[in-house]
Amino acid sequence: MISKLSLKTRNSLKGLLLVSPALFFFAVFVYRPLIHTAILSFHDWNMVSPTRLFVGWDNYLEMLENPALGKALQNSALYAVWLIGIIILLPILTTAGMTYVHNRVRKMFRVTLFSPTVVSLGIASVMWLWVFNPIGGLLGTIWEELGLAPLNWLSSPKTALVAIVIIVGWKAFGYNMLLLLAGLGGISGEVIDACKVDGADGFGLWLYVILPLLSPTIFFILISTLSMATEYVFTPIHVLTGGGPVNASTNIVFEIWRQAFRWFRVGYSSAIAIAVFLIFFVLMIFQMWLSEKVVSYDER
Amino acid sequence: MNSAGTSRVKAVDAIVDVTGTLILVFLFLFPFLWMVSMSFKDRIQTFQIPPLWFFQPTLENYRALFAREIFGTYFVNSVAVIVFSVLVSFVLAAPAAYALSRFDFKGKKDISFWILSVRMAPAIAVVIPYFFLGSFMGILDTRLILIIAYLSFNVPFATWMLKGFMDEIPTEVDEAALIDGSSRFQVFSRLIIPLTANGLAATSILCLIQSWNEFTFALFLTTTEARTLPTIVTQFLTFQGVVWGEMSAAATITVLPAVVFAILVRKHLITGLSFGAVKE
Repeated sequence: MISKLSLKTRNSLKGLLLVSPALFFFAVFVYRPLIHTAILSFHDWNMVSPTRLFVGWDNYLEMLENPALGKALQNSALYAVWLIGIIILLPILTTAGMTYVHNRVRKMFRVTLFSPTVVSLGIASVMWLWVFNPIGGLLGTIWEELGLAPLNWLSSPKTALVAIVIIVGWKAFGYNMLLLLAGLGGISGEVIDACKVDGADGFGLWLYVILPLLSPTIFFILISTLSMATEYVFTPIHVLTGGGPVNASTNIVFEIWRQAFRWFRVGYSSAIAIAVFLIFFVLMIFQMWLSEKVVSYDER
Repeated sequence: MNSAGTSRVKAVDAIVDVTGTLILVFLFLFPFLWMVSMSFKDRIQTFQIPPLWFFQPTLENYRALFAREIFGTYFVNSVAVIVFSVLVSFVLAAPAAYALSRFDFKGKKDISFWILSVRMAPAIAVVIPYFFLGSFMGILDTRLILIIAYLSFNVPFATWMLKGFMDEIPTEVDEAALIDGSSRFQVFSRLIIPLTANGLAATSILCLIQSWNEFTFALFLTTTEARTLPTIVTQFLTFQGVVWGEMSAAATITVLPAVVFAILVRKHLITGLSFGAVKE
């Protein structure tokens, strides 16, 4: 029976057959749960009650009105801005600087700056707890030595968010920088040399030649940094600040967790989760579209 | 004269390089150094001001940690969950990667996109349905639910990595073997798998690192029985205060394998961590 089909059809059937176990797994354990979340987002349910009340778009409408969520959204934007500065702009500058240092020094840099990347976020959070600890902690001690009023970084509304940013920044800095260095290595030396012959100097060379050529890498790290700003920060928030003090360090993903597991508002929490998922889905499509465009521009 | 001036500039450059490097290296490695040193300190040494750099190390924290029953349980859980999830993810990912690398079929582009998109879904968006899935099937707080959860990021990752490694093998290799009378399955199992052995090893170690470090799923889907090692540090953040010594010992032991694994795959780290977006 199968032998009657054309070679092309047979090949495509074989291909589909080989991907089907993986696709089956995704269907059952990723898409089905996601659809489940989407369905829950239209209901009011407290996790234990046998009945769920269908409420239509109410959960989504509440998202627009709830002030706590507004704070979480505002903080998510703040996290994003801070992290774009610390783990995108700063690594670009460091990468530029690194082209001037000795090869051996550069290697040492790479290993050092990259090492936090392989540490679990939960562990990274407690590693930094001591630095921020008001009693005997590093920053606290320096603060006191300088004669400043004692400051508890993690429980002061002004600094809690910054403290979380520092932890995530420390962990992700090297990762972004390594990607930038790899992207830089991919730019052909001939192009750079040609520009130098044409009179491009350090700054101009970077601004008009290297950065545009690096843009696929920069887009990639921009998207992953945005996802870090929403998701990565969750673990240190959960372990160290609990979103506080007074919601000062909460973010959108922490709010998803808090609504479901602390206040048992499963429907509302699911609605936020779906909204976040959709935002990232759109961003991902945008990134793929953009990188395809830039690649073709590069090859032309 | 001129060359003397150049060499002086070079010397100044070198000094700036070295001091700058040392400061940066110190800043980045400081939390590590402090964690390790704290794990060898007793209670009094921990809070000494100014902080102690040289002291009589004690193994008391490690002894206390190993004496805890949960340490053994969590460690075994971590190993079991990771081994199973990595093995199963390869059974699912290797054929899929081969298909995406070698076959042309309808909707191939869409399928690759959907596999990648799974990876992009924020963990927290699926952790809530996983929680219900677990409670519905009665497998909450078991290793099984964690294995399933870890598969959700290991399978797409392994598929993409392996596809990249398989793309590097010329299709002529397959065609020659097929002409010689091998079946597709033989080509896959006797040629492609051995030829991508390095890639398989690198991918599996990257999966190991990610699963070993995973924190969110482990925290929400388990309570006591199936907890994994990274979550153990939260046990030392008590209402009475932080148990610094033991917590540092636990953190040091959790970080160690990840560092060793990372050193093993350092060549493939960039490709792996950028999900194939950047090749080195």
